Amino acid sequence: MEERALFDLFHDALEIEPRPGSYERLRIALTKPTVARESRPAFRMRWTTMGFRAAAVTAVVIAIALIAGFLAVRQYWSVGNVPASHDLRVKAYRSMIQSGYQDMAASTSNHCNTIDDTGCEAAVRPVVAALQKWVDHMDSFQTPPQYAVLDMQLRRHLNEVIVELNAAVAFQKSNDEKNFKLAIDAAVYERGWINPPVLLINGYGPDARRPGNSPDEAFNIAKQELSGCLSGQAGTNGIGCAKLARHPSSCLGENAEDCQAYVKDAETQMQNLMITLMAKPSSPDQATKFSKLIGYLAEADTALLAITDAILRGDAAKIDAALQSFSGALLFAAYTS
Amino acid sequence: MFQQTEADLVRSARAGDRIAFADLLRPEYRNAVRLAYGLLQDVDEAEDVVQEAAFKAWKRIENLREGSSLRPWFLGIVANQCRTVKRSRWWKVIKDEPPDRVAPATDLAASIDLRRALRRIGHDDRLVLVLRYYLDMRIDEIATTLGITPKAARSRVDRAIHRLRPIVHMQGAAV
Repeated sequence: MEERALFDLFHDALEIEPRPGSYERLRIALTKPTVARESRPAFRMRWTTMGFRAAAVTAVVIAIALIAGFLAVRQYWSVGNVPASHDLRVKAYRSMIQSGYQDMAASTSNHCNTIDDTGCEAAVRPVVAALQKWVDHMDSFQTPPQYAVLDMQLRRHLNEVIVELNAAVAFQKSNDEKNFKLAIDAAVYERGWINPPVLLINGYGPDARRPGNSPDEAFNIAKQELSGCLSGQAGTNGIGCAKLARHPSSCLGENAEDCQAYVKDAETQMQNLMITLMAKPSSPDQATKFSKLIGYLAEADTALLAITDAILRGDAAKIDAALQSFSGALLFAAYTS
Repeated sequence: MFQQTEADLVRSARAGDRIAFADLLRPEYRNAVRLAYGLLQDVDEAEDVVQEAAFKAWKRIENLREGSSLRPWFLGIVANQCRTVKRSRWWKVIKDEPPDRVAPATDLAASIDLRRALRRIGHDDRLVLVLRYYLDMRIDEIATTLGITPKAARSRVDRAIHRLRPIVHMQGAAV
């Protein structure tokens, strides 16, 4: 048997892809506190803290802020230069984002795993308050221009978590287990979504080894992925984007769970592309097309949030409108030049 | 989706960060499901096995040394979990996957023959063949996953092909 023939034969005979949302289900299961580590205490919080990463990020941010603050002040007083107000604004912004993140993490507790959890409503209250405070701070802050899009999307996602948590409490009260689970799963997914933008704002960009190391490559890969999605191909984050681009017949009733899984796949894909592009230092002649593409991705992401929201509200018309917006944004994004 | 390097994520996961661990698994998830499917030929079971393997990996994350790659370590756990599942279901009648779950094959008869042939050879032979010809892994990657030398990995692959060939031929596959 020739090697090539064997490769072809195995691929033909066995080719499958994981089902939409299966990784997200694993992720949710892994972040539940029921899976204990053998050699250390079980992770107690459903709304997990970042553990070592948060400590490292905090330490690095504090260290950078202290050193930079010291250098800026010293330079200002000794040389008499104009202070780098832009840099200071970025640092203040980062600090506000980090503080919001930490308050949110500190407000969480191990509740709402099931509809029978009587402590769920009380546990949701401080989380919603922390999220609202974070959003209010973001609203009142003069966002540095390089973070404008990311800031807007982060705010939208934080607002959506508030909606989802409140919805979960309402579904619990009406003993609607199916929708309670949808709402909590959506909130837990959004909780994971928050990490990458917060890290990017704090200067932790994507892995440099990711495909598309040059800005042009990254741009073209993003467009290819979006074109693939429009033509029904599974992307690196599953088939969700392609399924939604082809407008599922319904996202309500028994289809709600599948549809929500597609939305999560697609949200992850949009986020990956946005963050990869944002982290690429584009030249001035590339900046316009990058900014256009990122803008369309943000529109697509906003439409996905609207789909989740409409699923929880059981609003078929809003789902249709959001699906139209999603496809439209994808189409524009795929043809950005 | 996550921006930290694999080494950063390993460090965070070892320190107890579940999100970092889940992010670490994300790029390996597809391969893990495909490996499990190649060994078990059942999508539901493959996803269950990967979930079980992920829980086991989390419990044993301290065994993953800093600086080492997650992929071979995790795929090794998935392979072992498949072996356990296979042993525990020895009595079960193995069905072919329903057609809608499996991508259309260019030569359906040859594909069905290969799937049947794979069920008839031993777990270790099946494992090296799936790693090599389905997950497209290089011999050195297979060696790392199995914890053996590249030379031993090469000879295992050759031996497995040798065992597979007569079964596939007997069943009339054109390979």
